[in-house]
Amino acid sequence: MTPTRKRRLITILLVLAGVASAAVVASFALKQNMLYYIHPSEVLAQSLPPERQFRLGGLVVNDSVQRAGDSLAVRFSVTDCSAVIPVSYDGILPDLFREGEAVIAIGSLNADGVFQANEVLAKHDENYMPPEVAETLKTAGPACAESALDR
Amino acid sequence: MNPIVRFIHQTGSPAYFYRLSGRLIPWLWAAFVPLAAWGLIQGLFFAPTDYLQKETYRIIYIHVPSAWMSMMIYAVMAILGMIGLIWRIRIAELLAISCAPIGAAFTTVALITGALWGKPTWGTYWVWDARLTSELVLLFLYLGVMGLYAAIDEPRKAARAAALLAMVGLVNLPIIHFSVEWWNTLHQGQTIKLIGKSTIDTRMLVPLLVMAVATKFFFAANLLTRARNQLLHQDRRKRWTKAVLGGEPGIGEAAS
Amino acid sequence: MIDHMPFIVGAYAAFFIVLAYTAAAPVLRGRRIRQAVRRYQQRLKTASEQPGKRP
Repeated sequence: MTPTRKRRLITILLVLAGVASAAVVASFALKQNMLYYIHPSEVLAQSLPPERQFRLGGLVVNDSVQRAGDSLAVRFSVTDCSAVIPVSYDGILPDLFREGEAVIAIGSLNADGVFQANEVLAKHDENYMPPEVAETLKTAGPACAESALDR
Repeated sequence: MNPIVRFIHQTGSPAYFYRLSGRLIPWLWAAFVPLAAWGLIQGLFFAPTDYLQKETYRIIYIHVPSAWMSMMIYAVMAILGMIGLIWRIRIAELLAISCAPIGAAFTTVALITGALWGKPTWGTYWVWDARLTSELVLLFLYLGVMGLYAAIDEPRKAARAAALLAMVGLVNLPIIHFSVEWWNTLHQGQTIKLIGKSTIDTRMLVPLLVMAVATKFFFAANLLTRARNQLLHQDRRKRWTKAVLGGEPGIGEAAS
Repeated sequence: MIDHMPFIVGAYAAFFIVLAYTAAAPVLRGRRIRQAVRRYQQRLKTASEQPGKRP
């Protein structure tokens, strides 16, 4: 490699290293802001003021879903396996909303500690399989799979 | 002379590159068409239904290969740009700049198919989570590279400026890839893992991998077509074009 | 439960439209460039055969 080319290469590598370290610093600084949602135990630990909007993410507790007979109103609980927050929502749930699966609810806590959601999104996992394979896997599974949260 | 250096110098000659790429392109298309046809037919009609998403998961066969291509093409563009910057090889510059529109197209496809997949499954077309946002930034990077190249009149200078921007944008690639691990996102984690077991049934996986290979042939054919256009257009007044084209106007070309 | 079919069809349609455009655009452009280059070479040739007249 000629000296000119070597100099160009070194300049380029220096620029790249600079930009990369700036990006690393920026993403560390923004780590909290880049989180799309927070877990129930973080919510309770922070004691957020009522009416403050945030996004709550967790698993829908099994057998917690209660639907009102005559409207779209629904109540369920969201957990991260250590804390539980009750959620109330009036609207159409996404098709992949299931008990035991992850959801993200957008809204705020009211004075009674109930999360009033104005939007609910389903967060599915990265597993794809035919129904018969899913059936054989279903038999053995913990009541609350913590690993199901952050995937 | 070192055979690698000789190869680079030969391919670097405009006439040689024009002829070689012209011979390669039909073969690349010939590889793409049957692979893509097989992959799409298998994916759409023969791969088993998903236990949770039913038929909707079949969008994976276009969404994931497009998203992979959007990132791979960016890396190729930045590396070619770097080669162009250091060695001042004109063909590398032309190839690098020709990557941008193809990468932008695949990024657009990944974003559109992702939105259309998100609505019926997640319940929303779009959220500003780390994965979706960083992929949108990738589209803007491609558009920025194209815009910068178009804004400078002198093609060699334009290519160098665009290459520099492309290289700076490389930082975004690991962010896209690891966004689902570093931050809480609505987007799910990696299904296909290079290390460890992929979490997709084999019968669903094979068409997906075939589509991933097919899109690479699409990219290669499209890239060469665009680069030789660019080369011929820039050199339209040069003498070598006479040797590679020859003939009367319109001969060997359908009128358009 | 919303119907998922329009979303699947829409996604595949977007894939085909965008990629077909990406594939076709440079082929058509190449055709135009080659025609222009040939016309230019033709003009040069005629000019050299008839000295006196400028192309």
